[in-house]
Amino acid sequence: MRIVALFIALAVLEATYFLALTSLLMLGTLSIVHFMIFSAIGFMFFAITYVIYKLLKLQILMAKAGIRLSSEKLAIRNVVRKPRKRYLIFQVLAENTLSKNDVEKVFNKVFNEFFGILGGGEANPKLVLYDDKSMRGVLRFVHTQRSKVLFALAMVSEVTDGKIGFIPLKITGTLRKAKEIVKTLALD
Amino acid sequence: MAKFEAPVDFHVDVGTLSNGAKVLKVLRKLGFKTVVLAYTTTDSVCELRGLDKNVLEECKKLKLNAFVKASILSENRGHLKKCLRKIRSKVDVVSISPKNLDIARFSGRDRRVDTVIFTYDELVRFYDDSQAKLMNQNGIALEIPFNRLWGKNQISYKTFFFLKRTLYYTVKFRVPIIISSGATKITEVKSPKQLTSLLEILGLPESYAKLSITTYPLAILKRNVHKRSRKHVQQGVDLA
Repeated sequence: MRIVALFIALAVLEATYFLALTSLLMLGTLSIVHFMIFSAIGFMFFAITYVIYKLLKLQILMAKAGIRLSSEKLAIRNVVRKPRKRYLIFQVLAENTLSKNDVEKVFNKVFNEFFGILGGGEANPKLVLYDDKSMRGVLRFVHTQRSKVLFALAMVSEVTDGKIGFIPLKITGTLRKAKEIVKTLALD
Repeated sequence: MAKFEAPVDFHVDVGTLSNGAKVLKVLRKLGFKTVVLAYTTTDSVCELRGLDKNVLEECKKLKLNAFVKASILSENRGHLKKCLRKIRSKVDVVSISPKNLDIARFSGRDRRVDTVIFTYDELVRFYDDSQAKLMNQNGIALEIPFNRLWGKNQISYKTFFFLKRTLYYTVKFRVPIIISSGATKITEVKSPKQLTSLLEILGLPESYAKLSITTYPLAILKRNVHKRSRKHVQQGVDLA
């Protein structure tokens, strides 16, 4: 927009220049030879201005296209990104001890309620391990969907009226490491 | 000398020590380094509470930096003004839960207020562009307590619609947003990543979402500790 305004301003300036030249010729202060020379110079300037204006416009268009392409590339890269696994170690806080089935049921209910089938397909959460005694478990999910899983864990206490709480303790990249950590981590 | 370390849980209502000790322990385990212990009072009563010594000792033991916050439930502007006069210099943070539009606008304009707490109902009714503009002009933060955001019948697509709208105004008018747990018992405690996940699922990038539990709350705490120090004379006037 600024470039267009600048071009218009320059064009107006050059038009004024031609007007001045013509009026000088009419008044007789400028000879026809000089008029021709100055007019040629004026035309040359106008041509240069026009070419620069076109080039700048082209450059802006190219930059815009480049940004769009790069954002599209990024989006595609996210789509074709290999879904890697992450393991979340969590602690269940409840008055009664909960079995693996109960924990799975509660989590799946909350996750489906908030993210539905589509979100479930993206995150693919699965309870891999659960120890009834310590009430700690390991949940597997896709690495790009961490915030969804954490949010679902946070919402468990809201949906169950504060009777059950899921507290995430650690996220690891391998199940082996998760198993090691489950043994060492505790809230007490 | 108070330490300012992130992450911060900006609203924890510990109540009694027996319950509080457990909550504080879990908070420490989850990685919080600073907690703001809140108590709720109405503007007509305007109760003044300091930090319980036992709770303070517990915090010291756990190496948690503790601050006190008064959360004022307000319906009347006159009462609120009186209450602010009484309470402002005695506590570290002052938050207001507005019950009507007048109070919401007043709390967005008054510099003695640090944060305005909006739960779901208040977000729907009072949080709009003019409220956001007011809060931005006076450097007042929007506080959303995670646990108080969802009533049992309120979790629906509409909740997320209004949250998204809130985020739009907040980002557009550059209002600092703080997500706190609002925990009263152990099952309600949330980890820092769980708190930021609320903003992340609404579409905010992780780096921006993190500010809600680090930079923004710490800035308020620093400002208020400085205000309460002897060096501070007036806004912009400090003793060397």
